[in-house]
Amino acid sequence: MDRALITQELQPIFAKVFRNPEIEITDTLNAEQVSGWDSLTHLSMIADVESHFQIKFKLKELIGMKNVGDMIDLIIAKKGVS
Amino acid sequence: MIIRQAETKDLDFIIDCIIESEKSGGDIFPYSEAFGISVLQFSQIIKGIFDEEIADQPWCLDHWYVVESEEGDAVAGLSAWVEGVEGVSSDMLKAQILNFFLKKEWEAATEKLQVLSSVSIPRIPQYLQLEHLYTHPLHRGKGYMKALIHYALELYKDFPAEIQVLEINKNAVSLYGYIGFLVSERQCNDALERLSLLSGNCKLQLIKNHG
Repeated sequence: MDRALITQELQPIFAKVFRNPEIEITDTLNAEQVSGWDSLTHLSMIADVESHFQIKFKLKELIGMKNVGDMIDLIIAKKGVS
Repeated sequence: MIIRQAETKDLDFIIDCIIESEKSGGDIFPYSEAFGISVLQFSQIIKGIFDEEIADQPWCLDHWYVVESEEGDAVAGLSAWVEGVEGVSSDMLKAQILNFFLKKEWEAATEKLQVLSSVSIPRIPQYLQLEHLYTHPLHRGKGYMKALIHYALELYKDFPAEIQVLEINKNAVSLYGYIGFLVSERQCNDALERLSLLSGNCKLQLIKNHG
């Protein structure tokens, strides 16, 4: 499991939460670029990511996330993969 | 009148500001209605949130300014911060914080939160935000809030400013208009009052540009 695989596994989660099957996951993707990414859908996405990867984000980690790349960095750190 | 940055000793008054401003002059406290928690429980949660010192959202001591009475007590207050300086909206930060502190209650509140978010107006990045403006009832009519708003506007004079308020709060809307804020957006949902989620059905965004 590496960065590319995590990106691949995030795609169906984002597609479901933001109701966009074609959504393209990149490191720089953030809420401003995605229609329907508001505070509520953001929290659904976080819950689904935590459930899928069997991890828990800390509050400071959630607050520090600026884009998908930051989230992938955290998943890698928590799963111990590179 | 002394206007100063808030200190830890002002926290109880700041919590009053948050609770009373959220009520918008009515009886409905939205966080109790949405999450099924008492005002006292909410107060304890807010104290925990202030302990986390999370900037760029209203519930952070560094963003608070108060008017001090002759007796040395904080009697008027507001939260002031510049929206989205780190690229994340304050509403997103607040939702994450609340979700973290109210994990158990969040799921049951989802439907009500969706109704509340129907009148949510995105805050404008790089605009000074003024939130939770409140004056203790015994100290109203003395011009404290007007002075406090001018103080915040001067402190952040490089930024245009934004305030969001319920339309039903006529006194507040009138004061902000007097200071030069103009209505830029209005969002309404009849379900808000019917479901007792807010004291009014319409939210206003007011802005004040330079000049």
